[in-house]
Formats: sequence, structure tokens, C-alpha cells
Amino acid sequence: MTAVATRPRVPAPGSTLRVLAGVEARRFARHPLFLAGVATCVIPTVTAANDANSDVLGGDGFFPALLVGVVSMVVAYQLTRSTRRSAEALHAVPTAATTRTGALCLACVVPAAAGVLWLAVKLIAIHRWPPQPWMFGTFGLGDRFAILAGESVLACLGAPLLGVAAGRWLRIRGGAVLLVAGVTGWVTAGFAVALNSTGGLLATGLRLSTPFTVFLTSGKGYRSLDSWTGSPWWYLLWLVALCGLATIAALLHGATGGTRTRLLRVGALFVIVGLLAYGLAVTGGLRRTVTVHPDGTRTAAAAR
Amino acid sequence: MIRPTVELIGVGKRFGGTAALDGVDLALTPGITGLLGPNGAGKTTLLRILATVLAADEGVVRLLDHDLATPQDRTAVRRRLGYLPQELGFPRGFSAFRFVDYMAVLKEWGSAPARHAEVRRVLEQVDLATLATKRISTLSGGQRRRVALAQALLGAPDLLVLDEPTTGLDPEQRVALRRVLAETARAATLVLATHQTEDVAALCDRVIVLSGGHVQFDGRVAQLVAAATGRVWLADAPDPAAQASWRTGSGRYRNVGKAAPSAAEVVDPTLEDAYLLLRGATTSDSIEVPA
Repeated sequence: MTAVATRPRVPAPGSTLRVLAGVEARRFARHPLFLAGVATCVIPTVTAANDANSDVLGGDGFFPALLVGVVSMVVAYQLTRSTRRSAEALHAVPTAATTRTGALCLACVVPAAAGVLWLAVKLIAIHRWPPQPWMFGTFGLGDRFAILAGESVLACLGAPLLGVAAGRWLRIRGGAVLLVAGVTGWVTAGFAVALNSTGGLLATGLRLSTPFTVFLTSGKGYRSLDSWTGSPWWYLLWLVALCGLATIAALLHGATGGTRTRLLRVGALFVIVGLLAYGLAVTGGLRRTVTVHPDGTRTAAAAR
Repeated sequence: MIRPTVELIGVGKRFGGTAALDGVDLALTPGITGLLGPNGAGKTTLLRILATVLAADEGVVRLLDHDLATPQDRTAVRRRLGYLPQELGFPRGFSAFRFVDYMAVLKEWGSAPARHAEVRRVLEQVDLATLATKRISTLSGGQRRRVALAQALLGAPDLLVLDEPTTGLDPEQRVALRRVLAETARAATLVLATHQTEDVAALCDRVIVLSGGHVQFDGRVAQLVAAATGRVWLADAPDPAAQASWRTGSGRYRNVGKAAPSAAEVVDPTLEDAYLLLRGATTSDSIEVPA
């Protein structure tokens, strides 16, 4: 027997966004690529947890950023593009394009949660198996947290947000590949400049302009560690502003009238905050790279 | 008098230098209206305007008592609208249930139990209940078309806009679909564009023939068919005087033209005959449609 047709009640503001965000979050969490990325990230995380020679604040953060962050960027791009073939029908539904994009942006909390989990594991591991103090370089407790949060949570949040924005705006085949190449190229360029310098505003500025960087690198055989220039806390705020800008860029697609105006205003606010944070990140913190030795002595890093 | 649910006054739409619609006036009330016309006549453009997907360049479009001037008006119409586009693609990996459920969320079903019940209802309506959990990519063309139709039927819309709904359906499925649409149209305004004149003849109270972006005919199906009375005849060979002729299964030729020869075996016209006569009338002479 056929059931009687019903109609939805006009929803309370925001309720469709909430339901849709739940749907998109489940799609994200079940995406095979995302699951593979998370699973692959577990291995080096567990291995590094009780490894005395682990790069506590350095290379370890590469794993969540790459295996969860970059992979999630591709997943977010795919999820955003997945409904393009249904676009004609989607234009005739009461839910606005900005709400659909907003739901995709909210679904990025799934990879961000994986980043939070990684950060929690890392902090517990540091507490449970404390590294020698010199292994934190010149960075105090607060800076350590900012560095780890930037490498994990913000990378795992920002990259998929950029994926959503690219998914909305890019109209080319192989857009995901182009996106990954662009972001990794940007980060690698900043890193390469920093590796060939011992500081200076230009090198620091180029390195900290990128959405992922490290603040501590180890020498051969962990005989010394180099603490890099810049302020980790202001860099973290710069990353938050980048996340905000990626979200605004995504939401602007299809936004009209008052919504578009409001988004542009919030975007301008993120630009101002971002530039301020970026400037302070470059000019704050260490001015020159400092090498810290196992006996606790600190020396100016030699030119590479 | 019943207030029109769809009202178009002097509606025009251009794509570059081409006028897809030009000065279209329409007033539709609940019931089924068929939209006929050759390719490029403006059927899809008209349906996209009715589905609020496309804005008219000129004229007034009033749907379900809303003028579509503001986003709020468009949202209010979309809450009572079902739309089946000519071509609807599906996200990869989705099952029929998941896709229709996704569309239901976008149509503002917040509560999962009510939403799922409605999704099951429409899938049952299009006879896909048993295939609901199968991936859409594994379904046949006709089954995919029915998935697309199911999303349009969500919430028993007051205005249902269907662009070639029977494409890819086999005869049994088409008959089943006609039953569904006839049920739906009891309380709704249903506009369907098609190249299948038999669907219009079987389903529609009213038919609109578009040509070159203009309304060429707007009236009851019976009126259009009646205009072809005495102008369709069978013969053993194609009649050179006929506007169109084709060989039928019996081996005889069905001729449609200005007037049947005096000794010809005149037969009852179909909507297709009348449509062909009307189309031919644009280039030769007009046909008189009885009031």
C-alpha cells in the first residue's frame, strides 16, 4: 500500500544546514581515500610516540598534514564536485547554494577531528615518555602547543576547506591534481628557501606565507636541533585566517545580494586579521635560526 | 473561475542573439499540460523558467502566487515545486535511496524518520522499492529515469515540472508512470514536455505547442485532434499531395494533408497527425482549430 504524501514543515533557520552538514560529514568519514589516509597516518604516529629520536616538534607533524590534510583536500574537492551532474535539479530546491557549501565546510570538522586526535596522542606521548628538554629547541610550552596544533589540527582543517573552495570554483579536469601540486609546490618552495637561510625577513616571510611549515629541524643523528625563525602563535593565527578565507571563498560561489555583501565583509575582516597575524609571525619570535645541542648550549646556526 | 497557479505574461528569454522564448503568455491551472514542439522550440527553456532555474529576461512570471522577484519568493515556490530536468546525473556511488534521501534533505526534510518514510513512498510510487539499495550506476536507463522522477515527486508538490519524463522507459513503465502522474495531477499543476504525442494524448487535458519560442497552439487536446478530422487517410501508396506520409504495419500508407481525396479511406486522426498538420501549417497554410 502506498503511504500518504507528506510535506516538510518550513524549517527553523539553520536546521537544514545542520542536517545537511551531518549528511556531508558522514560522506566524508566514509570516503575510502580519507579512511586510507587516516589508517596510513596511524602507523608513523604510533611508531613515533615512544621513539626517543622522534622529531618532537618537527617532521612528525608532516604525517597528519600530508596523510590526513592533503588527502582530505582531495576528498573535499571530490565531494564538492560530486553533485555537479545533478546541478540542474539542485537549482530548483529551497536550500540555497551557500547552505550546501556551508554544509561541506562544516563537514571538514571530520578531518580536523582526526588532527585533534593526532594532537592528543602526541601530547599524551610527550607526557608519558618525556623527551629530553633540548629536543624542544628554544620553544617554551605555549609555543610547542602552537607548533603542534598548526601542524595537525589547522592543516587537517584548512586543506579540506581549500578543497571545497577549489571544488566550487575550478572548472577543469584534473583539478584535484592541480590543487595538490599547487599547495605542495607552495609549501616546498617556502621550505627550500628556509633551508638555505639562517633567518632574515624575506626567508622567514616566504616560509611562513605557506599553509604548512616546521619550526624545528634536527641535524644528522639528532646531535643538534635548529629552532627556526618566526612566532608560532602568530603563525597559528595566520593559519586560522587562511581557513576563514578558504571558507569565504567557497561560500561566495553562488552567493548573491545581501549574503554576498556580508561574506565579502567577513572576508575583508579575515584579510586584515590574516595580514596582521602574518606580519607579527614574521617579525616575532626568533630573528635568527638557533642551534640547540644536547648539553643545552645554544649557538647561532651556521649558514647552510 | 480557478485562479491560475502558473501565469506568464510576455515572457522572453534570449541566449546571445537567439530568442529562445519571445512574448509567451500562459495561464495554467491544476491538471496536466503537455508541451510539444520540435527541438529548439523553447520547451526546455520554458520549463527551466517554471522550475526557477532560469530567470526570464522580460515579462512577468508568477508561480503559485509568487512573483519570483526576491530570493524569498523563489524559495517559497521551490518548497512547493518538483522538477525533473531533461538530463539528471547522479553522484558516484549513491544508491537510489541515498540519492532521493539527499534530495529530500535539500527539500528541507529535517526529521530522519519522516524523511525516510517519504523517500520510501516516492520510490514505491515509481516502482523502485525493491531496487532502492542498489547503486544507481548499476541500474538501467529507465530505472535511473524513475529515480530522477522520484526526487521530483517528493512532498507531493503543487507544481510539477517534467522535461521528457518518459525517455528511456519501456511501454509498461510508461503506462505505470502515466498512472502516477494522473494521481499526482489531481491536486497539482503538472507541466510536461515531451516528443511523445501519445503520452500527451493519454495524459493531458491541455496541450501547448511551441515553435520558435512562440506559442503556436494552446488548447484542449481534443480541440487539436478535431482540427485534423478529415485530413488523415489511408492509401496503397504515398500521396504526393500529402503533407506527410508513412508506411504502416498493415503495408498501407497513412497520409496527412490539407484535405483527403474524395475517394480516400479517411481515418480518425491521432494527436500525432494533428501535431504534424499544425507543424506543417507554419510553412504552408493554417489549420482551423475548432473552439
